[in-house]
Amino acid sequence: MLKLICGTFLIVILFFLGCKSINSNFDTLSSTLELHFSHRLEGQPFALNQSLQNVWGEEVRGTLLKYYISNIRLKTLSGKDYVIPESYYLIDESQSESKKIVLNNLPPDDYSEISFTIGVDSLRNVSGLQTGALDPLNAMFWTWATGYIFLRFEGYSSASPSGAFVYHVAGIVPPNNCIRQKTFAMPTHHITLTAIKPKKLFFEVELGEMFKNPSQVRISQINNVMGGANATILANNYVDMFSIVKVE
Amino acid sequence: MQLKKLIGFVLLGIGFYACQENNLPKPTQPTSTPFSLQLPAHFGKKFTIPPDNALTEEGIALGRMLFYDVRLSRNNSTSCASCHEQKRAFSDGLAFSVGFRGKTTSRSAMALVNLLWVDKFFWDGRANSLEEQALHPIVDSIEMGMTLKDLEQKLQQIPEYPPLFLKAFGAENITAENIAKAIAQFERTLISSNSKYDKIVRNEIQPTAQELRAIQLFFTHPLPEANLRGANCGDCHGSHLITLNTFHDNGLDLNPTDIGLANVTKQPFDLGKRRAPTLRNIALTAPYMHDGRFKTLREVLDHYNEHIQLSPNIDPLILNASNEPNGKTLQLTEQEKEDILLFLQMLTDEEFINNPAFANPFQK
Repeated sequence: MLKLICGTFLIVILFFLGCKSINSNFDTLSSTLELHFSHRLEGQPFALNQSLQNVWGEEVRGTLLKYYISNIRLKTLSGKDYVIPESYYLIDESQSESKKIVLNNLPPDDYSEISFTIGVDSLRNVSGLQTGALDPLNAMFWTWATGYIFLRFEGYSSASPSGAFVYHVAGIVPPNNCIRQKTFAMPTHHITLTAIKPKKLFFEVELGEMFKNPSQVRISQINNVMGGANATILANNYVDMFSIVKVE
Repeated sequence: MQLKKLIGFVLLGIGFYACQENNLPKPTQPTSTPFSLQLPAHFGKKFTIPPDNALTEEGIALGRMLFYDVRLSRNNSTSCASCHEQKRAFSDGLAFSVGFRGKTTSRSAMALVNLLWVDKFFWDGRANSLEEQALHPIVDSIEMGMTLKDLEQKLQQIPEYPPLFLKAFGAENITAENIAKAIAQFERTLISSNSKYDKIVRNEIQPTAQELRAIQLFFTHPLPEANLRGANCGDCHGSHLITLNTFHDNGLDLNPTDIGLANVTKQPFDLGKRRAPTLRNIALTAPYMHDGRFKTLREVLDHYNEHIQLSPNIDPLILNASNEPNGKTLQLTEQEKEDILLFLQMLTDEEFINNPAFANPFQK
């Protein structure tokens, strides 16, 4: 009896937490998965307004870092895809709560993979003004003609002739389509989601990847990117910046 | 089994309840009439109305009275409207405003336009809501010179006010909290969305070739290697609200004397950053900047184009904005400057400055 009441209480809380997401499925008990993001630069903890160095020894003093994580999917051990509906999230280094994505109402199961889009899918990109994470007031929307900026990274660098770097990665038209997807195997073969305890996945985001793999990006040469070929280079580099370092 | 079913039902109910959109709170006073704000679709929904201060007809009417009432100042000389005149898009035409005893303030009065979508108020962002903001000028020793206690007592003695507070908030007892709530309600109705630019966005009118060019130029960050010319305004004055509500150092002074946002955050990297306000109705709100240093929009453009100072926290978006490869300044052509000036004129909303619902209720 006590268990039942405690369990109910927990579920009530989960329901309230779950408002932002999805079509709730009231038939089965649901579970929660949290994604935590922390940023680093060449192994150093990244913080805005702090002077760090990229792999080329160039100064990187970020003033703004924001990017979209969207279209999150989970794959079960048995091979079923679970697509999380309306999953659009804006990670903003200046807003610590934005660096935690809470996925509610997930079907309890064993999951072996998680994948997401870095950026905004082309459909949403062209369907006009949006709300929530996609609201133009988040300063990630250019004008009605240009769609979303997928990643904004700005700051100062003594290596840049102007003293600054501004990277705005955007664009959905080949050859400069900057939408990137990434799939991750769960580090522990699979994770088991149950209704009782939420699980947490911790992503480490190595911003240094932006400058080195597979293309060498030197701030001295590339410091003002607004879509186009250089944005594609950055997107090809940053697609590998995420790794799952811990499950709780 | 029965209990489980019952719990299931309760959960179902809570699930629906918890997931209701809470953007527009419902009035708490049964005596008051809910006011439904007409929200322009192209402005988006990124705003919050405090759940305990839903808009009501009575609250807005009271707020409008308070906004225009000089009795809110120590010597009955100054109201909110003294420095926020409707015909100037609720600004005052001065570099520094004049307070109740003729002394001047340290910053220029901001225009009051589309404040519903703003989340940090004043040039330095020191108030987090309109409710919080509304009381600052009233108790400021230069602006209106009151104390909250004196204000409450003074309004309580004015016969017309207690019944209006009763209707709006269910209590005749006048509190500073309810004064602030009423003024905030009125201010949330100050929506400007009928400029020429809006009519173009809504496809009601077709832009001329120059107007279209002006719009594109305004919102574009220049990229000379891709032959993309831009005036770089939209980086800070973006979205259809013509502001992103963000704080920037725009290179006015090599060593900023007004520390701006750092006043609130105490962070050296915020020194000299100020809110980039909406440019809607900007042609009506001269002089420009927090200290009114520029008398005309042409002077403002010349600043951004030719006279940027390399202040310690100047925005990277400004440092990296030239229309010439490796250019040190923005380098707009004379024609492009004309285009931007045209765009700024397109943001004037005659309906907004003539709307009788926003006018002085004491002048019938």
